[in-house]
Amino acid sequence: MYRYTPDDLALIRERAAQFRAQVERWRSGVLSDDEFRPLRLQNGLYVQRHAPMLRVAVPYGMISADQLRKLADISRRYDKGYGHFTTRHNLQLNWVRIEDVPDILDELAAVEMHSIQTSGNCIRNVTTDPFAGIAPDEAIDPRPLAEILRQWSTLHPEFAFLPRKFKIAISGSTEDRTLGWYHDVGLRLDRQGNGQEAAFTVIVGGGLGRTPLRGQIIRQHLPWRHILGYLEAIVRVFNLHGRRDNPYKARLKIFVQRMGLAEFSRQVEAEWAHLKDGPATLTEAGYQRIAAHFQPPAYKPLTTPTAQLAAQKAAHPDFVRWLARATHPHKTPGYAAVTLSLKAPGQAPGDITAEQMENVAALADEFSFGEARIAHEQNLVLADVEQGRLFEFWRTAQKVALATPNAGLLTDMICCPGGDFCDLANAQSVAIARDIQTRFADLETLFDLGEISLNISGCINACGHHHVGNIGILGVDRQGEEYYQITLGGRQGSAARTGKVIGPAVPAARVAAVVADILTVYRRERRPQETFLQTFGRIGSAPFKLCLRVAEVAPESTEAIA
Amino acid sequence: MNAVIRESAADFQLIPDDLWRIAPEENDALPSLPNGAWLYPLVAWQKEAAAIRARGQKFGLWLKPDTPPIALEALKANFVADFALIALDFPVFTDGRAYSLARLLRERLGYTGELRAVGHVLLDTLLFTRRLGFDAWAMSERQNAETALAHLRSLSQSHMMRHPYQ
Repeated sequence: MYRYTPDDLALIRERAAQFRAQVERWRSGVLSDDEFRPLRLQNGLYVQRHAPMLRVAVPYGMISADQLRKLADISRRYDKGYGHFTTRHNLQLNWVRIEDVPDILDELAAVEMHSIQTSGNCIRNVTTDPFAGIAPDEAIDPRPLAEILRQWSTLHPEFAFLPRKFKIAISGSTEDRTLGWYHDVGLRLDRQGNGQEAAFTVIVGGGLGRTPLRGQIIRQHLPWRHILGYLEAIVRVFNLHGRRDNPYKARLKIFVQRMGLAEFSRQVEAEWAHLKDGPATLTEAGYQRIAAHFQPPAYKPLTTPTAQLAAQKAAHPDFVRWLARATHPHKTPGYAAVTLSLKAPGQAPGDITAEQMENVAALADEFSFGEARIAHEQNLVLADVEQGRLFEFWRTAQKVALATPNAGLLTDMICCPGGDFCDLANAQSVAIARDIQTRFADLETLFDLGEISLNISGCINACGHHHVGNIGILGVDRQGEEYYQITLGGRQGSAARTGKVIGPAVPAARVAAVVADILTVYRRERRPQETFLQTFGRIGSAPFKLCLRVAEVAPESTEAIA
Repeated sequence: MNAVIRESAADFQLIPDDLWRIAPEENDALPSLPNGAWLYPLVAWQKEAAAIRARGQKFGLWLKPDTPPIALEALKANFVADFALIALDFPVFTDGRAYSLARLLRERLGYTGELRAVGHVLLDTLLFTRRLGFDAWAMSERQNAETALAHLRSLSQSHMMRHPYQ
């Protein structure tokens, strides 16, 4: 993974010192609350329901064992001994004290970490594929360009105060695992054209939130060396002309929707005509300097130990389950990627204790070259495990409760922290997740239900990505009561789309039962081998709507999502 | 104006007696303006450029953040170098539009004269504006000018000032 140069390190140390001074000026009254708010948000510091929350950046999800240990240490000394991984690869510390944050930033800097631009109206942490560099369907490892995007966007002077936040995802594989269709900018890297030069497909104007919109392709075959200039053109048009009067209508997606892709594209191209071949153009040497950090680790020449695995599987049915859910193909023979689920029964999705962080670090050191990745589904991935050591890995992970074999199954939910922490949330999303986990704790049942995604957001800001869950659950407020709207048919990936609301919202106490009913309908209607999504696609939403019928008090019809 | 800091000869100075004033937008106010250094709002300049030049005094331009870039392009033909000063206004420091306007003025129009940040100018935005080519700042009321001066001087050593790929 990328290691800081002395200049990188000096930069984040200075940034931490700058923030310390900002906190002091705010405490002494030189900065007003209104002035301090955007400044602290640009450093990932929120003031939440119970306490301030600090969001630590994990750029494109790559993290070292040493960094995990430092996060564990910080969470113990400055927080309550745990953190929460978000869908943007970041780690949220929910109980910090504002006066401690400068010290925390200094400690983070010591391990090449920071909280720069994890919030605020600026370019946020760039996300990528948790299987970057190892996925068999990958054309180009997106991480060197993700790192270049990180350096470019960090403290970019022109784009420090955009109309609204700006999220970029980058992927280099056939199947999209970055939710690229639902970002302000989704970048897909591929080898295109006769010369097979790396080039980008650029998607703009996507996003979830209160107005879910799928992005549109604005540019194909953009040679890789032009990516920064082209992005500058996009962000500049947005910066100059995006709405600043209403934060709910200020995202790029609404700007593009109102203007139409053709006109937006015309404006971007006009800007791009000036920027093309300018100083932002990347060079081969510059690229190689960064790419050197992402060379494959020292893989051994291995093959899949078929007989050994067969014997282990025959003796341990639980191992078979874990292999099926937690391991993923690797482009290097004899290796596998492993998901460490943060969705064990009773665990708030994405939450991780300090002890678990240390255990992941130990597993990474022992089995995966000392590195880990954060997946946007709020799990961790160890990307480079020898297949011949998977059994040993599984045994070790089991002992520290990191071997829940539910990745991709119903209880592998994406879920926001919800009303227990967040000021915005209407609903206790984590409590709903717990109800569902409790009801579906049985592995036989989970495996029988097969591949399915269930995403929960505590409010229409959609941090839990409910729109793109096969089953989506959204907390809404009904005269002070928590209700939940159910959507079906959403999906991530290359064919990503949002689900549709199937009927009136249901009260909190009924959500798990409704989910169970929906799954009963699926099991009744499915054909052999059919996933939930396939069955839903074949029979439509009508049979599922009946599941909502028994609501004790039928609330008014479905609330439109503004 | 509030305390003004200007960069010159690779250093920064507090300008104790800055005399620039912002002219009214109304054209009919122009004849009655007393002598002195006036910053003309874009609309005034667009309509009265000839009359402003005819006054025979140095003049500058005052740009609001909603200035259309196309209006800047039009200045190109109108001798942008003749402006002794271009001031970009920040009604609130989080309005980042002037950041893009500054780059357009410097990079696309080739403006090399004084580029001044006015309005809600905080210590915290000196870094960004300096990197974008601003070389003068009229600090917001509650900002300590000496602190700002020291901050600007320290920026030349700052790694936050220069980072690859920008």
